[in-house]
Amino acid sequence: MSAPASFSESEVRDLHDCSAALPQQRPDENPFRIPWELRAFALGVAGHEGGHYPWSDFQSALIENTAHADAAGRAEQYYARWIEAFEQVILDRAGVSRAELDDRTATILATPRDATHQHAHPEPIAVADAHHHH
Amino acid sequence: MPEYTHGFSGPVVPAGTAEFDERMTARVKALEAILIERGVVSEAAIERIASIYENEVGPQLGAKVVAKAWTDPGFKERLLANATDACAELGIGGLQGEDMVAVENTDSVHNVIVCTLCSCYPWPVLGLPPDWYKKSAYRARIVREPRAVLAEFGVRLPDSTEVQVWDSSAELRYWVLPRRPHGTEGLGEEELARLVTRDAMIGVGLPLAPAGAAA
Repeated sequence: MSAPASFSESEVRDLHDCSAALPQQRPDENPFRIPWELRAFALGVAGHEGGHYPWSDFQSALIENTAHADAAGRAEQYYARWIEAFEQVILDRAGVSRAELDDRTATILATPRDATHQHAHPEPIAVADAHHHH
Repeated sequence: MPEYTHGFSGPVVPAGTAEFDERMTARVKALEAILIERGVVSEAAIERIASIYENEVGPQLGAKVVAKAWTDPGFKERLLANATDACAELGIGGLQGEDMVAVENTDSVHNVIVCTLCSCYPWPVLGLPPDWYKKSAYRARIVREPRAVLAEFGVRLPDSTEVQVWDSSAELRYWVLPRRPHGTEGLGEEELARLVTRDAMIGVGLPLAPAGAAA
């Protein structure tokens, strides 16, 4: 099994640097609000580049999902629609079941957050008691 | 407003919360990990694409095309005849740029682009669209009340100017060739390109005035 793909700490830093370099921009000016959106975008393009689906199939799925979400008055989350469209066009073609994907998602969510070192560790994580010699 | 991650067997999670993003992050990681394991996509390809669209493809490319059109009448003619071919002359092209049409602003016509159905946008010249371009407020209102929306972006046009709104789709992607600002007669292509903003090529902005010119 290959290593789980995720953003490295330096990539996350880079993304923050990119946003910080554009202080005059309104928050909705950036194409990507948060790293998972960029990752989702790249997956959609990579699947097409790999020859797994014509771009028009992906676009049709995206248009359909956007229309459903608009009609249902759902919160506007463009890249959530993007991921729905990607799942629609890739899962069957790749022989991946939704159940398998749900399981893997649950496993990742269940992994302790500290495993990714994203959170402050305010206390020492190990303490070796002092040895007192009398 | 409630939102849930589609196809995910979990509770309803409100959009715009940390939990929503945490779930979406996990979902995308899971997809990526499974597809890499199956050899469907490679991590290198994902990294390359993310880097290109994050760092390289952007409106500075479109600005280069506009500046060339402002200084080279033959190129401008070719650009208006076939934007995809003209951009290819400058080595600019790629996904979502296969069928581009540049629409020219004139004394009497101001153009603005939208994708009413989703977010079709000429990536090779403008990069990826800003968030507001993808929102239903823009997609609906720019069609119904273009002058009011343009005014909100700070673009006030005389009543004598006609506003044309172009709907991009998967088949045709429009973008705007803005008017060359006054007082730029002596400028070269590189200096001109710096005056061309992304918003000017969407049509919700105008090119910047040259340094030293009255605003």
